[in-house]
Amino acid sequence: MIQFKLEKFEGPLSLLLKLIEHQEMDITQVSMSKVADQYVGYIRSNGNIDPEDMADFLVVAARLLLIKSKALLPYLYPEEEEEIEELEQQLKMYREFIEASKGIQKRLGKKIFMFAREFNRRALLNNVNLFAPPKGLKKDEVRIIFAELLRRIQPPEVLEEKTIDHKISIEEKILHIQKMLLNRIKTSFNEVLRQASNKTEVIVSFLAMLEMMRQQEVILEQEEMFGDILISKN
Amino acid sequence: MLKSKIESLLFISAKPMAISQLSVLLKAKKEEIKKAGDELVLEYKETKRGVQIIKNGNKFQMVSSSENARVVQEFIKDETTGELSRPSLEALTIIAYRGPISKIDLDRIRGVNCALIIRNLLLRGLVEAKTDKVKKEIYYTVTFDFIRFLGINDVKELADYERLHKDDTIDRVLLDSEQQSNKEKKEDNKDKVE
Repeated sequence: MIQFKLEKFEGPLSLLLKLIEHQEMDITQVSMSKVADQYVGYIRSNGNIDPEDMADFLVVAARLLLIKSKALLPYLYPEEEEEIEELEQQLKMYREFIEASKGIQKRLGKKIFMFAREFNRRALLNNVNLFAPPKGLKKDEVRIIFAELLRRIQPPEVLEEKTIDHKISIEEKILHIQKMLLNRIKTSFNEVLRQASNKTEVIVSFLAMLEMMRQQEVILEQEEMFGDILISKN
Repeated sequence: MLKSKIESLLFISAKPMAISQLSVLLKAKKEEIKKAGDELVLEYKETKRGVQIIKNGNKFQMVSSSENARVVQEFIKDETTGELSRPSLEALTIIAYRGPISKIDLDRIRGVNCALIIRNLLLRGLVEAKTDKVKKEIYYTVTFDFIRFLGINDVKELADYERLHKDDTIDRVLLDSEQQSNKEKKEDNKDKVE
């Protein structure tokens, strides 16, 4: 017995087609009569057919049995020929759509979606009402008005620019170093220079530091030449 | 020019517009709208624009092209997977190729009652229902959303569409006589469905 699991909502034709394809046969009355027993066996033993769909499965089962009995006793059922052909046709058509659905699945899988925009009437109208030119305005008039505007607008005189260096006094720098030492015991010359924006300020900072040492306010330590100078409160 | 007016309306409406709606707005005959609309679809497609016009039954919609799906998805952070169960995919395929199709015909092709699947597809917005008042029957077609997911301009572009759309062996056997007598009525109904 072949093991299949039908998905929910899969119909009797799906089952029949699977059985035939499993035999690697084409859809013919011969192949249908061959799988008739398997089909009946499946719906008898399998619990996952929805009871509501069972009737549809039984309709196909009945047809299959008819085909099978006709294959065995061909002279018995002359008038049911049409009914049998119908199932064959139906199954063939169903297979066509199964093939087509594979193409559709492939397309969907590519995710080449197209996107639409949202219609928003209010937003559209807001944009439109923002600017309303007077009725009967001509292109030429707009051009003349614009030329007139351009003539009236004089470019502002450009003033000569000169930058003035920020002057800083030794007193200010001393104050700055004192502030730095307010919360800590030690700082360093490099730390002080971090704020210096030009060469003058570097020199002033150095002088301020020397002045503070002269007044015995701080103690300076330098471990090696060109090394950082540690400044600590005296 | 009619075509350019349709183009502007499709651009601004963003959502699908029906031929009948366009015909009222533009004061033109439905056939003219349909012809100009079909030409627009083709022109956009042939010039490989980043914007495309898609057609579903008697409606048109402007959308971004499928070729640029990646970058658009990245921009809007879209993570739709497009995954469907096999039975849903089956039913959807049949509706795409055969739509507008009645539930009875769908059941007949699948050989099983499709009520729950149809409901599921309706909920997911992949299928829509239209009631034919004359025949008192509901017909199902795929939605613009589904066509957008496929990245095609029209279901008619699906592989083998002509053949599968027409190949109706069973129906022909069953309905041959009925169809003959109803043929003229059917033509009338078509207009009413629109």
